[in-house]
Amino acid sequence: MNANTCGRNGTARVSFHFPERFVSALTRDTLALVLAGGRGSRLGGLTTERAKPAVPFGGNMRIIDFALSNCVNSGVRRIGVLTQYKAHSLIRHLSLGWGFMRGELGEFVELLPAQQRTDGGWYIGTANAVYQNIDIIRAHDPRFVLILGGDHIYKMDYGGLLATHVEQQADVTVACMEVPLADACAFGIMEIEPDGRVCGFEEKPAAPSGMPEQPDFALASMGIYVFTADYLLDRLRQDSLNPASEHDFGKDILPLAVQQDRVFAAPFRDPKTGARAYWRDVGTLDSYWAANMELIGVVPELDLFDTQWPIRTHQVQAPPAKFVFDDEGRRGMAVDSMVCNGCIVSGALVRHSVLFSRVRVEESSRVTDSVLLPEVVVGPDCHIHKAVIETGCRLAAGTVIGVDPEQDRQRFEVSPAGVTLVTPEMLQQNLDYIR
Amino acid sequence: MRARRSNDSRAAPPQDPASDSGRQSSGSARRWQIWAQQAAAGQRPCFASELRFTCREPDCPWRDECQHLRAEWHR
Repeated sequence: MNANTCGRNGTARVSFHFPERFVSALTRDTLALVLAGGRGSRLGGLTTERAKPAVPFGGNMRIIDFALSNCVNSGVRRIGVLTQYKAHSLIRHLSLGWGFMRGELGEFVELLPAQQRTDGGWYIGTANAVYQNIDIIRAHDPRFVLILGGDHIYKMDYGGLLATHVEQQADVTVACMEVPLADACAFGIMEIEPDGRVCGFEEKPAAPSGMPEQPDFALASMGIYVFTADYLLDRLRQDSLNPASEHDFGKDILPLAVQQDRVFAAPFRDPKTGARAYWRDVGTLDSYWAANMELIGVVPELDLFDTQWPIRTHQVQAPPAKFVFDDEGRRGMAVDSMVCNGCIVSGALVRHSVLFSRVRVEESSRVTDSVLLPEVVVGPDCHIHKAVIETGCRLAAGTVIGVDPEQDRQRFEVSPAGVTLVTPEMLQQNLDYIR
Repeated sequence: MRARRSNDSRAAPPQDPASDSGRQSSGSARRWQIWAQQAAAGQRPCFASELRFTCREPDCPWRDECQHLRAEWHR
């Protein structure tokens, strides 16, 4: 450690040593692989033309921006994104928004589409997706491999996860959080010993068991894994030779690792409060709509305005949002809302809604509790309530959505919680552009 | 009274623009000031550093500020 001196503006000069930067060594020696090939079929019409990680979120982002921002903010700057299903808009977003890494400094966001590197097929299962890129992983020579899903909304410092992995001398470390027992069958559920070592792992169990100290909750894997690289490569090779395997981390790699090797759980908690941290799987229309609505709150749980942990994205180049007309009965305004650049609200009311870029809301229309994706045009005299309107939709004058669920069901997609999804196809608008 | 945080535009209390902490409470001046205080007290100057990942000091007076999510280039 180096000796150093501090003192400015008349404060006493004090000699001390720089803090150690051991976690920087861990993050620098880590390769992150973001699994972004999934369709996310539960999102219905939002993923017919794009992969789930490319679905727009929070006004000007896409879902994958959270995992990538977490990597960069954590100091993990070697990132591979594994793509497969309808990846064009995802690839375009990454090239436009994530091309700033400096290759000269060993930083990159690299696209890893299924390209028949090890056999003649598509990616089959999450482990197979990583296995098919085994030569690329070896070439990067990381000490640790961080496996992430590209389809969750959360802010996490992966440095802490890596520190836990090294402290425990683990082969695998799994980020986890408590979920209500009723929801647990959708996750990989773990049992742990007092020291955090995982002693049981079952992927999507039919009858999950509760935690001993919290019987109404189960400990769920978040699909975020740190592997010691040599260990991972060895296990992937073994798995590839097993004809009975589904080549999936949750179904095959982890259950076996729990039996044979050192697997540890790292609970995902708010580092300040110790409470369960914010994490959302926006896998259904209802959860997607709700997560967007949460952002509008005065003090949202997910703080997108925190400059200490910025969420990067690619944004369109457009002028600031504009609100025109201030006459009685014809006032352009938005309240309790997030409105992005390029939007025009013209003599209309937007309340408790999220407007992505270049949305137009025309005279005497009312938009409430809704999410309008980029380039939506709401014609005059429309009433849109509790809806998600897909990119590029043009709603004709007088359109009413979200008022009569029965009528909406005949034309659109209506979720169990009553959120209406409208896509251009449902409006017979065949649009040739990238979503 | 409703709790407020940094993303609430009404939340920021008035600050003395001449003071170090008035510029940005998480900035380098603040960090060095706390490191100096820690060192003067005979402690390791660990505030906001990567040592926070393995911190076992629940009573540290700077714990909340230190444990706030902080991008690598802000540490």
